[in-house]
Amino acid sequence: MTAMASIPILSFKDIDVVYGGERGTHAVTALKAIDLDIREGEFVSLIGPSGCGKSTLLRVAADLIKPSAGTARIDGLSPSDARLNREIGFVFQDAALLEWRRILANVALPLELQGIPKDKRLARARELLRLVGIAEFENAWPRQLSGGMRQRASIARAMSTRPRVMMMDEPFGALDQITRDRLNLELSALAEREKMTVVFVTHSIHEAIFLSDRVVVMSPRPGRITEVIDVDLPRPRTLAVRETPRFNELCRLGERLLGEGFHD
Amino acid sequence: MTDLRARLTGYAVAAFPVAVTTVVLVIVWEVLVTVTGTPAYIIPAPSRIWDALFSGNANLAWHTALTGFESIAGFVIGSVLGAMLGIVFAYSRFIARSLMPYVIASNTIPVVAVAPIIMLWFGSGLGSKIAVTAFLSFFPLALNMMKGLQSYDRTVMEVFHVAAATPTQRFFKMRLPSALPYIFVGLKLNVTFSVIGAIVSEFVQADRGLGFVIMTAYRTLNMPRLWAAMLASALLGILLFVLVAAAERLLIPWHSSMREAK
Repeated sequence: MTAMASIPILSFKDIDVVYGGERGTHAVTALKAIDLDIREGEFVSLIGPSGCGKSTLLRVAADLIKPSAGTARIDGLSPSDARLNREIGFVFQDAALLEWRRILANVALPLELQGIPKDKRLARARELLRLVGIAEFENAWPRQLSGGMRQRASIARAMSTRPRVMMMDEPFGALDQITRDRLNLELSALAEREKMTVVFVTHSIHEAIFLSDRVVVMSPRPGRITEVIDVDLPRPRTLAVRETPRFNELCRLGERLLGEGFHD
Repeated sequence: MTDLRARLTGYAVAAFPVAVTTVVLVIVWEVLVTVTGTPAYIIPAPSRIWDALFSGNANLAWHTALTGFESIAGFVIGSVLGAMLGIVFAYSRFIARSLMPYVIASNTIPVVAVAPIIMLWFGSGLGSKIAVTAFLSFFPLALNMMKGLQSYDRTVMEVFHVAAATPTQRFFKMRLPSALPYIFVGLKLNVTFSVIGAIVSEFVQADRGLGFVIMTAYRTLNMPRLWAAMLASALLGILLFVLVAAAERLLIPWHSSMREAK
């Protein structure tokens, strides 16, 4: 790690998120005193049981939720300014494509909203479709694609503005295991090649270990960070890495940290 | 070109059963009326109705065109006003809550009760017919526009938020396209009501148009002409409906392709 790379691109300082509580309703503390720094080019997964606030933390960074206390910084900017500077890419669990646009126009949407000229944004969208492996579907309607293909298009869309940080909220959670394995493999290669900084929320410890440089294990009530696992598996990673003793050791460590009753 | 031919063949295949049924029905009707000697003022034979379509002191086609013009003009005005109100309702809960009861109430008033009042305001010419028609083809789009604009996908909204979209971009690139299927539900209802509105307003007071033809045919017990006018008004309604449905297919291809897939 060089000195440059150790400057965090995304940092959370003392983040609290409290829901409700006004007018006598019961207040729920979703996140309590979260401190976390993510370096440029790093792949970090947030993992934990439902209600641990991992998605909430991601949504704070993307300016989809305002924290009750504390600050988040992206490249020195507040989440709101970073969003307006188009430095954030976000992939949701649902591909959330616009049904009335063909795949190419869907991928070009963020650039269109930014006011990039048509020929430029379509060229960029085509390049991204090639990158995620669905170039031949540029004229298809979203309805005509499988769940995995829709999610590929959604990832391409999030990458279109070349964001500084890519946030992914259980992007493969609704896909079957085979598709999921494939997309994990491709995402790993893609993130490495494009030097993306990724924050990845998942329920699966195997997925988290396979993809990440660090895995942040969280626990609920109130949502907080229990432990951070450094994943020292070599890159580039292939599916064969899952057969290695080190991979299984890290998975067992993760499962233990997640506590009893956790199932992948 | 082959695509067009395939589509036309598809339509022909789809229309074949109803065409056969119609021909059989007309023949049976004609034979029954002739054999039983049923008088024309009870049920006229199809051949008598056919004659009436093209006879009389003024051609029925001319009256139909006039009623069609009133329907279309009222439909356009009513739809534009309805769409605008629907947009205002979708964006302001307060205005929606304060005005919606009035809009609903106005819709429950029988049009025959409102038509004479509108006649007094707008005179006895074309303007009042169009006003009544617009009044009737206003509500469905207002309601569906509001519902449509509120029906967007919440995650898609978040995609637009993260991509720093402006409110104008959200409206034109997300909420309005999401609303299109609802908008066409409203437009199809509007266009059906618009023909009713035009004919009812001609009942109240007119010296031309299909409503006038129906009233005079009724008073003179000219049943073949009455049936012919009824047929003409049905054909007018179907024609306008088909035009709106064609616009729908053209404007929201992703929607129709979705339905065909099911």
